[in-house]
Amino acid sequence: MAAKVILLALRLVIGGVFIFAGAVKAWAAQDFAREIQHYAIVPWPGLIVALAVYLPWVEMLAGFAVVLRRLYLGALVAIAGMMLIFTCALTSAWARGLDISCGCFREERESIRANFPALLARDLGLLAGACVLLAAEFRVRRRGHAL
Amino acid sequence: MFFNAALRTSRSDFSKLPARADFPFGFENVAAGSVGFAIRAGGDSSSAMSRARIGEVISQALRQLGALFALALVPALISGAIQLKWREASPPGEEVVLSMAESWGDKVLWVDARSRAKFERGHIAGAVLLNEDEWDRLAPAFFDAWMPDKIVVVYCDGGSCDASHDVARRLRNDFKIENVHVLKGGWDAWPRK
Repeated sequence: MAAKVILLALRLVIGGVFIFAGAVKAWAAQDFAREIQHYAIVPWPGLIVALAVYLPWVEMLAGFAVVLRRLYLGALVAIAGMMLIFTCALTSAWARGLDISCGCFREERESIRANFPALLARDLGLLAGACVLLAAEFRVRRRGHAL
Repeated sequence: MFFNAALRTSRSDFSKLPARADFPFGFENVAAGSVGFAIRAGGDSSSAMSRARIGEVISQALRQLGALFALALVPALISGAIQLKWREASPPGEEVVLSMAESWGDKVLWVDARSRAKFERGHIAGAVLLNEDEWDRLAPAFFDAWMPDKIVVVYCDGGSCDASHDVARRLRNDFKIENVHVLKGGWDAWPRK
């Protein structure tokens, strides 16, 4: 019972965070494109724009899917994958000494260099949460019944 | 069609999977390759079932992932078309190169959007410090230096910082100052003498 409550809370938190993160960036594609560009990871401007337009909607839909339990497994895989990529990008920017903001939420002013431990902890926490949900769902389905 | 298939699968109950003897041949191909091997090798029935389910769950997750990506494409294309056509986060010509800014001569008011420590280590002559961390404290000094006929040029560290864009945007939005630019390349572009 306690495990179910924890998993439900985790689901709502992770889904809510992704809905929020996607919603605030979905209509600010040019701002988000600049944030992505500052990471200096993606070399093609066209791809940066495409990512800036597309990624917030994937985040938002994945968030809704997790909260509503529709396309649930796929959404969890997407969230875990995105968190892994975001964590790598964050670490890479920090390692290269870039003085840029995270770009995770639109209004965020957190410099990566100044807040790296907190940002890393947040990303790893979300990644761990997604993995826990994924493992729980996988285990239940492998046994042949849905939650 | 793909989306419907993914949804149908997401609603399916895996407890209804057929017993080992009832598996159609095609299933071996759909699920993980190891399933067929386990069955052919005469492995344990429950183990084969378990592997079949693992394969099916992975396959289902991938189908749903594809459906999710496909679904996101529709609003992304619409919002992208609208935003790229009608909206501009940065006004045209916001970024200026150093030679352009220098050609404006005394009309330029340089604004240093970096931290106080970096400003104190070195800055463009005559620049005023204005960053988001100390915005309220530094704004009065900015207005002491600013005149309506001035062209404000904001800079931060270099090409990979966005503090200058943020400060420029706040100058436009909060103080309604129109003639605000950002120095392309930032402090790194400034010639050291």
